Amino acid sequence: MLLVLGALLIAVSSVPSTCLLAESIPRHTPGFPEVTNMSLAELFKVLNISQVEPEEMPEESALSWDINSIQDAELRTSLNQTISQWLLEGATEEDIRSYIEMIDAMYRSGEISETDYIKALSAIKNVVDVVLYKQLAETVSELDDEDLRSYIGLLIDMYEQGYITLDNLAKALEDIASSSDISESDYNKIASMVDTINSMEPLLHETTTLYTDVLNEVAKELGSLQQFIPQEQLGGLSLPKPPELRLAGGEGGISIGMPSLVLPSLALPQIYMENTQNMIYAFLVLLGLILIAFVFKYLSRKGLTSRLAMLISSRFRPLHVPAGSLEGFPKVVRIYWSAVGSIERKLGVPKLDHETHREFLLKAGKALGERVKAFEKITHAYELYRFAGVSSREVEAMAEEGLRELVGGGEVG
Amino acid sequence: MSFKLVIDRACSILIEKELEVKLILASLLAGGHVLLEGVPGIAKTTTAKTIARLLGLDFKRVQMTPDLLPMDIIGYYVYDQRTGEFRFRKGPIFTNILLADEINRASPRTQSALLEAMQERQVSVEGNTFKLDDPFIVIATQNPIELEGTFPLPEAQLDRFLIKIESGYTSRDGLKNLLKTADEIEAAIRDLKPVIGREDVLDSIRKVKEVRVDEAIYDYVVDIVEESRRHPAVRLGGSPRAGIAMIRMARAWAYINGRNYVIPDDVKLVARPVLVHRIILKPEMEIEGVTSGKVVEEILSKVPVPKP
Repeated sequence: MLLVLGALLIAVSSVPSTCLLAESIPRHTPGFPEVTNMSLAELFKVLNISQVEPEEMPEESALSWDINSIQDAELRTSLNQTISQWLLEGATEEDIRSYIEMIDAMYRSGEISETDYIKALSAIKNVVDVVLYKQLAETVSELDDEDLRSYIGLLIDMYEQGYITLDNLAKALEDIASSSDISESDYNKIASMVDTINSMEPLLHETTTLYTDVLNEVAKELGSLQQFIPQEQLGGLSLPKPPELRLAGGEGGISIGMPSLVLPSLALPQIYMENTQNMIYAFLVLLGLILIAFVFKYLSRKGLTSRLAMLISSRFRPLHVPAGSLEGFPKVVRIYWSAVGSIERKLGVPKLDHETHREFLLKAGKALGERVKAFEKITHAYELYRFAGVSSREVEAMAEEGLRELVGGGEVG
Repeated sequence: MSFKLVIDRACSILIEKELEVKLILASLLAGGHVLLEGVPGIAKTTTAKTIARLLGLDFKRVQMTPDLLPMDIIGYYVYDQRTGEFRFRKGPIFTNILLADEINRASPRTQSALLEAMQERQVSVEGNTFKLDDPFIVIATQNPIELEGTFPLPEAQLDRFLIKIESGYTSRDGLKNLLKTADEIEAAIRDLKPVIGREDVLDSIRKVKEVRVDEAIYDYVVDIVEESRRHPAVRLGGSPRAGIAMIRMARAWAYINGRNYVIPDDVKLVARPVLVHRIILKPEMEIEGVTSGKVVEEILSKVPVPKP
């Protein structure tokens, strides 16, 4: 085992660090702060653009760096005022689009430099993201159904972290809206979110395209510039290579979707065995691994690992009986499993594989409160049908009555 | 229901012994024998005696010792001078409820004779066969701690016990209650009157056999037995006899709970007493402190119950 561990360590350490570059997902335009859970006031503080004059803006502020470093004073002031207004009062698609067109026209006519244009686009793109996120978050908080609120909140978070695109978010919301068990009020709110996304999505896409195009132009120019510098002069220079441009994590995201440089976020250093200090480190790591192996072996012998694994798997493994698989089963069985599914979803009480119907009744009883009697009827009917072989109309009626009472409670549908 | 009355009366006298009482009654109705494991002084004899009195059955107790002979339990022939013939003198095994105290203290020869009688429900002496009383249940006890000078029962013979009950001490409150009412308990047991009779017991034994067992329950029992063989800590898992015992006990358990059908809960409850003495653990696991009881609990928390 020691040999294996040693070999593993040497193998890992000998891999060049460049092979182990973990390409972190560039979540933001470089320098743009996390804005996910910030209040508007906090956002202003970070952006530092609403209450102070452009000249007074501290340079370290992340977004303000983009704006403050704009050379053209007119553009800088205009951007500050416009963005502040958007953040305070909200912005329509037309407002943003016309503003971008205006800046684009200024760039094309040579009024503003390439660098200023990039910085302005970057700032607008990020603000659009923030405005969109703010609008979505506000609508989500107004949803009546708590489960729906947390579920859609999760989806928005996934979009914000770059796991799904804006397009996919819109599709997911449409799917949720088409579900039959949501209220009309929630339906309308989700529909309004989809409308917001649909209106903002092309705008984000266009801004991103403009930004990418101009950056690519810059990169191309840098590349062609290198050709004119004699190679002998390049030997003593560390002229940066043009940045490799890529779109990160799809086009969407509150603060992603803008091109960014591929930067290494994790790199294990090569261990040179001739270096004594490194050898000591390697030895310590090896010692640590051996210790972990012994602890694991001890736990295994105690049977603790398997028990832990079993406990975890049984704890989080709800007994799913898909609705489709109940087709063809008698009514009582269908009613019981529908009720179980409902309790699992609405009250978060899962029926585990090894739990009997009576054990589940006992467990769900606490969460069901007064409606436990209704579920008791359903469970009793199920027991009679399933295990006592009683298939009379009375048993069916008992299950139906239980279901009516359970649903009638309002919370469990 | 009469058996509920028996349980209620027994539990009103015996403190915190409801599970033991119910399991012994279920074993009686399932036609099996009970191995009661526990330290001395936890009312093993009193429990057996109370049940016998409430059921109106004959009860005998044998203290097993190394010098006890098979004939001391089964019986023997004595010469009757008056008639000039050999007459069979029945041993204590001719009863309805036999308490074999500290069975592991008896020699293997005596243990073997007793266990054969338990299995066959008849004894053969000098070529003559004598049928044992009906109903017949042996409640054998053993002390899990004091093992010096004992003859532990071989696995094959342990398998002949339908269930093994691991009896423990009462809780603090239970003990306090017991201390207060110790004298009254003795008097109460002495004055106990049968709640039901032998015929009722025999009738119930017949009815238990009619308790419905769904196909899914059979599958569930098979899953549990098979899982007991697959468990990593187990050297020898449940035998087919273990499966049969589980079904019989589940039926009896359902019956004494007032049902004429078995549910998975019945199987889960009887699985531990049925399997705990039949599962043989790997020696290294035993040294590590793994017990067969824990293994059964693990198995039950792994095997899915019948669905949908």
